[in-house]
Amino acid sequence: MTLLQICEWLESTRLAELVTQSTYGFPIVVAIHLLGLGLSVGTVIWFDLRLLGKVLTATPVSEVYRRLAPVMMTGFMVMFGSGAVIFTGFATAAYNNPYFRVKLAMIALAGLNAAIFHVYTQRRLAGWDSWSQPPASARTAGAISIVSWIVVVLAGRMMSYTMF
Amino acid sequence: MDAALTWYQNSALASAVGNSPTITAVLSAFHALGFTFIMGGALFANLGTLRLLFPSRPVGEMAGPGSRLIALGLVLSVPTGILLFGPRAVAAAHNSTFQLKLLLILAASAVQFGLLRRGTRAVGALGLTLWIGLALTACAFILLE
Repeated sequence: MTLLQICEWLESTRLAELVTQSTYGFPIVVAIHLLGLGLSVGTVIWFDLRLLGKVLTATPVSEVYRRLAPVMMTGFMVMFGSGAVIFTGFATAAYNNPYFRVKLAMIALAGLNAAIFHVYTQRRLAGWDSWSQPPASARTAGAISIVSWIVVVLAGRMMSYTMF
Repeated sequence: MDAALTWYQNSALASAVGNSPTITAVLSAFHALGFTFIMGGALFANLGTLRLLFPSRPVGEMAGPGSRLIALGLVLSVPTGILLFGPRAVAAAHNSTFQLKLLLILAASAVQFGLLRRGTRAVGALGLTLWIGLALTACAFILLE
């Protein structure tokens, strides 16, 4: 089964029908997606700025992460869940949209960046946890995260105007 | 008021926005980015002022940067919002959800930039309520427009 065939199958499901056919289905899910976006990206920025040594410089990086994580994770769950529902309704149009591909690539970059940070950079966290200016590897992770999430937001909105 | 709105809606600027899906898409993208910054700044500044995020740190460490991110968000979303408003100025201005959205932007901004420096929990709660109300109203405008 090709990716396009999977997209076509997704569009034939009952969930897709609910999203595309009901009067308020689509705008409600879009509204939830935007709220999730504000909650997730709006919060992850603060952790990234701490990695860049721009805010809360007297607070250990681990504590900043621990306190922001619940809000951040809730936001990401809402954003990805609602995004998946929207995708179900317009899968083939999204599949063919260049901005959707940019958005997915940037989400993948942000995910890979976070994974590398947790696996490699954070391993030596105890050594620099309280530094006001974290090491270059952590600052790079923060910068990549901010840029990639900004592009995700811009591409996501561009795609909704170029898909239909 | 209606005459001014009609003039703006019929202006070359509003027509350029309304007739170009690309311009509308770019404006909308930066409007959404501004919304994200506003939400992020509002959560950080007001949850900080409520002592719910970093209770051992001075409130100013969150209120200051949070307010600056909100200001950046407003710099992005207000001009783009005014341009997006152009092609449907008359209808949007008479929409009660849109009117509430404008009122909440003004009230939330007044609390954020006028009162939050006092650093009391009550102001933090008020600010957070107004910004969340604005986010919900903005989403409702998408629903009810």
